[in-house]
This record gives sequence, C-alpha cells and structure tokens, in this order.
Amino acid sequence: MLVNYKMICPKCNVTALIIQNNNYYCPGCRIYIGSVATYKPSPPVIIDKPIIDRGAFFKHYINKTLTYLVIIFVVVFFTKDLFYFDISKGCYFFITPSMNLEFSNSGIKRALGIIKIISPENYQNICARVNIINTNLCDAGFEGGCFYSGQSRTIYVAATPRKITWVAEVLAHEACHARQKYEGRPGDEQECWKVGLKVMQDATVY
Amino acid sequence: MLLFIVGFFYTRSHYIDIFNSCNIAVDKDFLDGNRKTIIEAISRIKDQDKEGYKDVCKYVNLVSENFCPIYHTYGGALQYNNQPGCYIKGSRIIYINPSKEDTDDIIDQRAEAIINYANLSKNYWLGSD
Repeated sequence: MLVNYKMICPKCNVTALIIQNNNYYCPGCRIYIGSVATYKPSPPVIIDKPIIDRGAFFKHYINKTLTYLVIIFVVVFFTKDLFYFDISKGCYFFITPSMNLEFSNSGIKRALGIIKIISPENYQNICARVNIINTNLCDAGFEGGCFYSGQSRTIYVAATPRKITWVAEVLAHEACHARQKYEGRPGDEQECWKVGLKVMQDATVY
Repeated sequence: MLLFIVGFFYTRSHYIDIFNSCNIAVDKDFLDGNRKTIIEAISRIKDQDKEGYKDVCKYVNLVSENFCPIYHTYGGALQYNNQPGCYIKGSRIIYINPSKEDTDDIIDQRAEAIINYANLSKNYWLGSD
C-alpha cells in the first residue's frame, strides 16, 4: 500500500488518497477515485489569510484590562490601611493588620487625622517617635494600648475604630511614653494619662 | 451579581438621597442600636427643615450610635456625657446615644440631635468655632 500524501480525496476533502491496484482509493469514503494513469486530482488550494476578528480582539483586551483592574483594586483595598503617609509633616507609619476581630485600620488613620487638627503638638510627637502602630492585643487587653521600652518606635493600640476619640486618646498616651523613653525619663503614667485625656476631651464637642 | 450584593449592603448602611447629593453612613450599635430610627430622623429633617437638611448633608458623613466619653479614670474606665450625643471635632462624624426604641419621640429626639451636631460641625468647618 502506498499513501500519496499530496493527493486529498476530492469528495471529503480530508483523507489522503492511497494507491491500490493502480487506482486512487479514499479510505475515508471507501471509494475508488480513478486510475493513477488517467486521474489527476488537483491538490487542495489553501489560502492562508490573516484572521481579522475585531470583536474577539477587544473582548480579549477588555477581559485582560478588567482582570488587572480587579487585581489592583483588591491589592489596594487590602493594603491601603496598612500605611499612613503625611508628607507635609514627615509622618510615615506602618499599621499592622489586626487579628482581634477589628479587621480594619481605618479607625487609626481617622484618629490620626483628628489629633492632627485638635492637638498638633501631640501629632508631631507621634510622628517623631513612632513608626509602627501595632493594632493587636498587648498586655493592656481590649480597648487598651501599650508601649514597650524594648520596641522604642512601636506602640500598641487595640481600640475599636467605632470609638474614635478613645483611639485618639490611646495614640496620644502611648506616644507620650515613647517621648519619655526618648528623653531618658522613667515612664510616668500620670503625665501620659493627662495627655490622652486632654486629646479625648478636646475632640468631643457637645 | 457582585455589584448587586455590594449595593444591597451599601444601601442598608447608608442614608442616600441622590437628588440632593446626600450620602451619610449610618453605623448602628450592634447590640443596643436601631439604624432605622436614625434614617427616619434624617428623612424627617428633610421634610421639616430644608436648610438644616442641607447642613446635615454637607457637614456630616457618619452618624454613629455611640456614647460620648468625656472623661476616663486613671485606670481607663470611661465616663460618658449626659447629652443625646456629640460631635467629633475635626471630622464630619457625630455620635448619637444608642437606643433600640422605635417611637415617634425617639425619632424627633434624634432629628433634633443630628441638626444640633451638624451645626457644630458646620461651625468648625466654617472656622467660627
């Protein structure tokens, strides 16, 4: 059996013809096409032209763009509250994600904005002494805050964002301890209690 | 579908009045609060006090059911004011004391408090405070 790869069956246009008993035979259609001596089927003509499908192109382009936009949105959505920048005041904080059912650092950012307005000196102190605001629980428990002298540029603020004035109080209070450490003074709770209380009272108008 | 779900939860937690460009988040106290009476209070302001309503829409972006701490002891125990709420200076946030009640009286009280604290916010942002 000899397969003639150049000849394609003119009936089905798929199967390659084979030569059998000096005749062309199509195994697909199971018919003889003609004698090798007399039949000259023309080879199939294939016109190779570019596929122009603008709809598919735009669909692909839009799908790709939308995918990137969704990815960017998700990344920004989950990371925007991890950072606080105030370039004009030289303020840069990393706010750690909270593991204690808050799942949002927006309250810290909002409280920082309020402190900036009502107590610029405390805001400046927070900016100067703190780089990391850890929103996870510390020894003070829920609604509390801590400053550990071993982590001099970190304060812990585990207050709920719903109580915005309390968050501001804790921020100012713990930053006060950071200043005491920076100035080489022992931790004085009384002094920082007054600082925090003043911030909280100044922020509340009724 | 996703937009529908997001829209559903957004409209449930906000007072929205598209024609007056009014969009105010309403944060209810999970245990002791009632978002419905706050939204009804804002609607009542719209019906009864057009100027006040404009100020509320412009100078308030969050009404939160919360008590207002005005003092805390050395140990951290909070003491609250005896007012119906407060305005948080430097923001557009007002606090309204939580209440589960669903009566006309409470809606009126809340409407009055919202107007008062919206005025404090207006005074702050216009620099007269």
